Amino acid sequence: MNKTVLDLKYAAAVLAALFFEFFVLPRIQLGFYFSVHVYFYLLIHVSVNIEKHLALLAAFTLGLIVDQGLNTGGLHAASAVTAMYLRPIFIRAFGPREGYGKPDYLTVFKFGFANYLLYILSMVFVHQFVLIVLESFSVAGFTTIVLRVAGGTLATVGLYVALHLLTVRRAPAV
Amino acid sequence: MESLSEFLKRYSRLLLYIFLFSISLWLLILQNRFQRVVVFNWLRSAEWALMERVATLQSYFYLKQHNQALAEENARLRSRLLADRYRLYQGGQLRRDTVLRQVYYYYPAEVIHITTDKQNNYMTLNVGSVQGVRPDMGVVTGDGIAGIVKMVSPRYSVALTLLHSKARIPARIRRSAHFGTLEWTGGSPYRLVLNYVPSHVTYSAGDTVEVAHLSTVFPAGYPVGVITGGSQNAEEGYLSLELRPFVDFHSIRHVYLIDFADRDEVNLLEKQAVGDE
Repeated sequence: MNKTVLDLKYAAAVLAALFFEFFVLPRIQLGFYFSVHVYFYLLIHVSVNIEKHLALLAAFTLGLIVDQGLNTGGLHAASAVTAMYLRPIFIRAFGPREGYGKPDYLTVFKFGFANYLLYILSMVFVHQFVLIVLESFSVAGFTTIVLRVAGGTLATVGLYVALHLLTVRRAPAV
Repeated sequence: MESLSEFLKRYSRLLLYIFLFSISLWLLILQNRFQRVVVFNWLRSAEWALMERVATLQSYFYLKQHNQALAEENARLRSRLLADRYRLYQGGQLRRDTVLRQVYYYYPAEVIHITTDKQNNYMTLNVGSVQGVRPDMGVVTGDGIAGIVKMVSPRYSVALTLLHSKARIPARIRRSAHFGTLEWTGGSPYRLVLNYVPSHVTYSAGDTVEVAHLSTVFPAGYPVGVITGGSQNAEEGYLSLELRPFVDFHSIRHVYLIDFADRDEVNLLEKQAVGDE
């Protein structure tokens, strides 16, 4: 698959995620303790070899678009940028030692299921943590914050794993 | 310059992250009322805390001036004590009104050096003849008497403390008004001796000793210390009472100098009386 087709697919996925974020998720009542956002799935799975500064700017831009759509100021931009800043650490910790091959998108097949799960768990946890702490903007309800972070992380990881297994196919050997 | 560019290159990603996160935070605060109120309240509390700390720091810097002002005010108040004034006689009658003539004046001073371990101990004060200090002025604290000014220079003066072998001050037991001579026999700075107290005098530990009316240096009744014990001098037939001074010479710092306004007149008169004999 050439690069242009991949980029177009990624752009389409971004638009689909935003549509889902603005028009579908607000109508689904998941409950106070289960905050789920699909746009972050794209940031988690962005190319491993993307320039790191560009990755930060991409996370900021996508987060800011979501913020403007949901009227949340810079809540998603801050959490997405923080998770993206820490991403190289998680990739180093859980990524495959033998490299990613072509194309260099992250897939469960390259990580192995356990490492893939740990990777998205770490990324989603950071994203949810910053998101909910900034939303609460207080340490007074600490227990509630912990429960919301835990609930949101588990629900999001469940959704992402399902989405990933449904959409990703094993890449042919290059 | 090179190190700056090296720094920017090395930490560019971190700086970019901080920049983007700050913008996000700023937008969050700007567009959300709840976060805006929280930040506003937090900033206001921080401002108050900072102002309080600055005020505390400022008051610390002005502590010396405040102490000086308080000492001067204390000196003025002490100068107004009725005990330090004589009643005026007019036409042979004691006037029983508020017309009193002041005879003791107080000046605030600080002890800048003191010894307590010598046979003859002195303290140096930060005031001198420029401030009106003259020899033979009494040195007291709020607790009790401390010494007598011996020598004076324009800006400093030296006083012998009660811990001096030649310090002799007439003092009396407050309860019975029997007096003796206060001396220091060396040793502990917490032990003075009241000698030549008549042997029939009864006393008990804890009795206060004060300056007797015979002194022209200190106002009569100024506290000296408390009796801790005593012994009978069998040969000479008087009592020697041990007492603990109210003034702690190890921690003495702020003192007052007492000027007896009529001292020259009294001294001259006494000299003439001796000369006539």
